[in-house]
Amino acid sequence: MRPLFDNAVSWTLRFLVVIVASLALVATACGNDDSDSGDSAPAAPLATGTAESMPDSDGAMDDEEVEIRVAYFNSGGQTEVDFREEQAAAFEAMHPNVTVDMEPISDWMTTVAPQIASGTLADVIWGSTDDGYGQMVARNAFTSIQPYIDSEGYDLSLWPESMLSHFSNPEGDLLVLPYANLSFNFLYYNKNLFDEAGLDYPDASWSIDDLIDAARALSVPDEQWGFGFAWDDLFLTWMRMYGCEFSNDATYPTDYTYNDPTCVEAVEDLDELSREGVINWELGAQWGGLAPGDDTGEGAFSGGHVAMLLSGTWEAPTIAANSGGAFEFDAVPAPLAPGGTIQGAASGFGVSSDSDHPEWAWEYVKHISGPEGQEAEARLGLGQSPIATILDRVYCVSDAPPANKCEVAKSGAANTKWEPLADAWGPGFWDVMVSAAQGGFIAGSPPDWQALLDEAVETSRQAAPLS
Amino acid sequence: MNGEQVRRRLLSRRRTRSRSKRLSASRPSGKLARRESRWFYFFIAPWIIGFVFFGLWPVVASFGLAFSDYDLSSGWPDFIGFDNFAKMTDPVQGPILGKAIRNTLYIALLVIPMQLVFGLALALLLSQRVRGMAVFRTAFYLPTVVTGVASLVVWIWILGSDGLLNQGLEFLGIEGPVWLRDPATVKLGIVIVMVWGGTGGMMLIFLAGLQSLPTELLDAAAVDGAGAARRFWHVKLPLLTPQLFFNLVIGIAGGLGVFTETYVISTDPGSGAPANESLTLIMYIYRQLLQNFQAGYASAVAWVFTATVALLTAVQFWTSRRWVHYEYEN
Repeated sequence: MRPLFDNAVSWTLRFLVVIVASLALVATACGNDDSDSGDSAPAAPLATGTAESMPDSDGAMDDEEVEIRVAYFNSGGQTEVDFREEQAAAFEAMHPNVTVDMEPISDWMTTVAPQIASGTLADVIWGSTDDGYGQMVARNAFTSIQPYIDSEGYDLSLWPESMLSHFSNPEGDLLVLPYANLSFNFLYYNKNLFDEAGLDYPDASWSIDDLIDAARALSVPDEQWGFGFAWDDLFLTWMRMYGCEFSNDATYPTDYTYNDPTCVEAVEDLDELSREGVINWELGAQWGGLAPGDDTGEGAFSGGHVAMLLSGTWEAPTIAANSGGAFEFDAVPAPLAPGGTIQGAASGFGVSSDSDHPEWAWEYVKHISGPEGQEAEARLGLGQSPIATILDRVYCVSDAPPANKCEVAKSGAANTKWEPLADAWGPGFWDVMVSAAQGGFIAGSPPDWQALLDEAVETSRQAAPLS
Repeated sequence: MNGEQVRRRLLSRRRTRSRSKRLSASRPSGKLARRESRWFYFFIAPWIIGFVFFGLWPVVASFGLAFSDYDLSSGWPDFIGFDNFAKMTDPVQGPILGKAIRNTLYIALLVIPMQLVFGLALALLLSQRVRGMAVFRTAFYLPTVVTGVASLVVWIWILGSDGLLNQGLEFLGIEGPVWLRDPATVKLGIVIVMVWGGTGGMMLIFLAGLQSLPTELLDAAAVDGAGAARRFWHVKLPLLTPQLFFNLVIGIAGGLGVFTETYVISTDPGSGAPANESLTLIMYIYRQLLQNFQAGYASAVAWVFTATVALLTAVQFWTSRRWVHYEYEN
């Protein structure tokens, strides 16, 4: 049998050649070609395709086989996966030459960040103010959809203006078509616990002081808590409720302002309630929070241990299921001090700057984020549409609890603030302010909150300037 | 050198020479050798390629990135000298990194000694001649082979306020904390989980060491009147120092590199919740890389961490000459 190679040296050389060739192959595969560049301008906008095919830029029928990828954050489990697949199937039926690949992602930024780095983002990508939207914008993950909107005259009048401006770049070009607005202002309350305490149910006229008084009255040490957060970071919503503004501009801030008197008053009250064991959350665990039952938020409320819970609309079905009808519950809008707002999260879909088929990606964005897509999603209970008419037509007529959900949702929509869009916001606000405040809540004795926030603001300004 | 020593050395040399001759005789030569080497390279190539791409190259690249300003998702690395290292002490990163280091040390300083002590104790118990010992050995080693995330989910339930541990404590009249939710106890909860998961591996190493102990030494000690405790402290333990040393090196690297446990047990994975009390050094690096996209800075922290672990390992090797006893040395 003839040897594969003549000698070991020659084989070694060939081996090295194979290694180098493999390296080159991988380097080529990992590299971006010019068409993937995040700086590339969107292709010329096309007219809206209405049925079965799409006109190309010359108005001719475009039957080219196209495959588009759609990446979305899956918060709705299998229900949402099925729904998104149905949306894709409907789109493929309308456009037989298009194949839609859905990519549900459960850990959004961890998955998307390397894709941004490698230029391999899906054609259609999800964006949420509460999950790295500002970082994605800063890294040119989205391409502007404004040229398509202008070209088609796409009607955006149904959307709240403030939401559209929040999803636009500083030049005013829309990057993402929003389909959901979740406000964290649902104050769920356990009617049975209120009845037992002989207290009136909360209503929309409640002030924050009313909420605090009722929470104290409903608390029983180590057994029952008057008030709770669905998750710990809702202390930021609590601060907003007092009128606290974290920055000098809601969308593109240039300075941190989270040390103003309303912010200080908010954290002082919260700290006091926490140390009294009135509020049920992780940061108050050592002051008597959480036990019995270590379920933060919804679990504690559903277990009948918490009289009032701050969360969003999506919590209601879970509460109904987990409480098993052990008590009656409803929700009212969380009380706001003058100038107070509600922290919220808005989501939408946009066209990625890596897309090879931005025209089709835009078509798909309209398909799922437009009014029809929103209505379908709202009927399924997955999303809370930002369009008032859809709220009225679907959400407000639904029998699902809580009975007051329409009133609460509309109040939230009118008062919601989203996370500002600044690349420095993460290190400046989350790493400094949130970290410092958390440290204050668990400190052995109540800190001087004014001094703590003043120092934090100075740190934010020096280390992570916004301008 | 006395006559006996000379004889031993000569015998030793003769044995070495004859062994070399045997090896040389059994080694293929010429075409056969070349063919063997080709096949050797052929079969090892996938591993080498994988190592170069996914092991060596990232390590080399991260060293370069440590001196660069590089946003993971855009641009090209800009050389900035030691700025990333200086950033570790700035007013923003300094306090958080300091907390991550303190948390990591707290966990490691509790976990490593406990794993060593429990591992050795279990190995001593499992080296006894008892009917059904294989079942016990399997049971105690099982936590090591169970997938980390799966066992952590179980531990989240065990360490819950109404979980198994607190129910046991309640039986003793002690009101247990909410281990993994309370800022005051979350690290202790992680320690419990890590000790449970890591002790089996150490136990196995100790058990292997115990089973290879020369019985003549133990018998000699017994004949000389040494009791069980004295035989353990003066015979078994010194002879187990190679295993102890190995477990210590591995334990320190693993203890300082804790990540999975802290990631999974949090209600908000990767956040270090509650209040950064479960934030460890590796999670801090993860946060900088995949949440803040600061690949350059994350690489710098990773290299400082690597250098620290390497230094600790070097110190252990250096000190091991004083306390690790290899049987063949005598």
